Amino acid sequence: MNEKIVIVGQPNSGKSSLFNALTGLDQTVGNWPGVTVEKKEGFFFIDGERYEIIDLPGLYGLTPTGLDEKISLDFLLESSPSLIVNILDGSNLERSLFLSLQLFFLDIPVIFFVNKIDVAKSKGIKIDEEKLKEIFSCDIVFGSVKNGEGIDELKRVIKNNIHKKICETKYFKVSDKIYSYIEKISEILIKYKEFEHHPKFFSLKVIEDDKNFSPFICKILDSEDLSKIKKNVEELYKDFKKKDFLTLDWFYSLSRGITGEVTKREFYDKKSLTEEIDNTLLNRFFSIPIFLIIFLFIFFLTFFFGDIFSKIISFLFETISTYLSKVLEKGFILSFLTEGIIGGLGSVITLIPYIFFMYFFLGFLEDTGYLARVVFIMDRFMHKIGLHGKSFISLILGFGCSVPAVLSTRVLDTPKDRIKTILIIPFIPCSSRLTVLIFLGAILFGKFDFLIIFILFLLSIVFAIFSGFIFDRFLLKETSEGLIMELPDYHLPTIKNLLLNSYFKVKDFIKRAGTLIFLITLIIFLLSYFPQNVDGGFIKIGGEKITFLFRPLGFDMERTVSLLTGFFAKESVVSTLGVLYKGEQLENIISARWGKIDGFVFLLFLMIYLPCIATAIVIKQETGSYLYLSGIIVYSVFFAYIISFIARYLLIAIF
Amino acid sequence: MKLTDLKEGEKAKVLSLYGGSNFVCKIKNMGITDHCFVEVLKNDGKGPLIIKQDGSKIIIGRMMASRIEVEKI
Repeated sequence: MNEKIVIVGQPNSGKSSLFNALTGLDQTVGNWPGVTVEKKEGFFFIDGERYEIIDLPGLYGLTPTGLDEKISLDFLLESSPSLIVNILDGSNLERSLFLSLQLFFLDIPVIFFVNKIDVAKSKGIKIDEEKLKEIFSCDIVFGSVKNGEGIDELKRVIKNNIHKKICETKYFKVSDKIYSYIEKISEILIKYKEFEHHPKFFSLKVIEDDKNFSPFICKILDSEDLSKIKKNVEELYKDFKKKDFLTLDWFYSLSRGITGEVTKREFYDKKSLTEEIDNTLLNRFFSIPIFLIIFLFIFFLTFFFGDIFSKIISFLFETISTYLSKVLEKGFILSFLTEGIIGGLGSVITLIPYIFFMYFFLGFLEDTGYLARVVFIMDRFMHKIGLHGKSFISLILGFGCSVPAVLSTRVLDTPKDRIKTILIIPFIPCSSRLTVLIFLGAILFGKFDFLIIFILFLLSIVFAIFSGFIFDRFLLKETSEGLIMELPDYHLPTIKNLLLNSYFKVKDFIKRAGTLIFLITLIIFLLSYFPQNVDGGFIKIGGEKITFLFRPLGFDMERTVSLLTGFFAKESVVSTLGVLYKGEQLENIISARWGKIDGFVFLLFLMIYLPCIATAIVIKQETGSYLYLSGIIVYSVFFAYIISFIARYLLIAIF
Repeated sequence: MKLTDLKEGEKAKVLSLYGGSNFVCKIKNMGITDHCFVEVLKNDGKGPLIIKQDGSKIIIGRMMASRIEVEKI
């Protein structure tokens, strides 16, 4: 039988690194049913026995305040895993134990993996391992995922623990007033089948009056038990002045007590390296220039390395095409292979290097801890559009691809924050748009290309900010709840983790968008090939009928059609143009036929109009409404049209 | 006094949290509980603050920080 194991831990405890260390490439990234929160599943073997393992979204405690925390908790309550592997941050035990203590209330077997022992040592923290083992009756492994320390022992311990049924902590055996009430109430709750698996947990929730659970619990209880429980809760609170999440104070005082008992901290007054670095990076005058330089550098690296690999790949495809046209006769088969298949595949595969490097470098910034600093730096500015710093991370991810950016909004606390952020994301120039922009810009503007591409890039960011203002003033006026998050210490990420994560992101991209882009290119090819008596096929016939709509912007039939296919995937703008302007090199046709102003207006329109279909789907999923989706579609096309129109006549008037 | 009134490097004891249950829960989940000790690492007079609590550093928005009552030590 397959045993199900879950990794539970707080954000920044090294959860996903542990997951990667255990599973390696044997993992899949999917979504939780109903919501688009990332779900990572994998498997590994111990002595030939197969174990399934799930990486749950990070939890601070068991009182969820965000969507992803709620999902983790619901999963623990409903799926009854065989074993919880609780990963703790050894350099920050008091915080980690806050979660661990609460996990015991779930009545699911737990083992601890105390990670970052090496970091603790370098901070002068000594953990008395034996003492910690005395306090908790569950198995505890000490190690460091980064150095591979303790992983083998962890596997052995997992194997030993998987069939154990229950694990209790001795610490709670001490007579403690709150704990005795929890036991009293759970004795009542255990009679109900809804609560029988986790009676102590639900009893804790009754005492906390956690709004996520208490209405549900009260509904199920019969009136006699309800009044009994209410009396107990009242009695408990008699001695306490305030009631707001008293249990959380209790858990923290316990974990501080335990930490004090098991750790020895060398006292030194020296500032840590992290604080030294932050003094510079978060300096009130230099923080923003430094941030801009770092991001320009990241973009430069992404496109520098992306370009090299992309050029190699397109060279390979061109070679295959030329070879095919030598050996095959002119006709449908040759066109189908070179324009349809190779053209379609090519437009997907040449994009992959850019996406890979974008994720690689963004992942680097995230793993070092710098992205958390960006939240701090940008918080002030995000307040001007009614959001806070955490939203900025989603917007930055939007430079990679809008789909994961939309998904990343799940860490935001209120629905309004999420919706506002989601609606701005489509206007952040994603890497697909950027590649189209760079490709066409280089053809059109020759030696000025970098300058003009940069202007277009800035214009679309200005428009994104403008949209933020509009949404905030007229649509979702509400100041956000505010920001609170942990600031992790800086550390060097491992290449293995960075490579693994970008690999799975690229794989996800190919699955989500790759097949779609390929199919669209193929369909466009077929539609432009048949009927054979018309040059340009059905597309030309249909395209000519709607071209009048875009005449005021100066677009011809080919550009109009390419914008339509761009809705399915932005990259297919280039491949569609390639198919439609057939016969010659795309570069020659474009530089001959498009004027510079026309080209600029076309690219401007391209940067603003319509989210691609994959983004549209996740917008619908995440906002839960077609209203927002259709709103954003109408809004974006309307403004793209107006702005391009104004830009065109302004430019004509000037030049 | 409020947490936002503290200058960089000053330490204080948390007296109480003013806000709805979601606010209180979020703050306490991060380890800022009644009677705990915090140190302000960064306070630029505008924008968020960085505080140190036990071994961890926390970024906290100015609005949230202004709802935390503290006593300077």
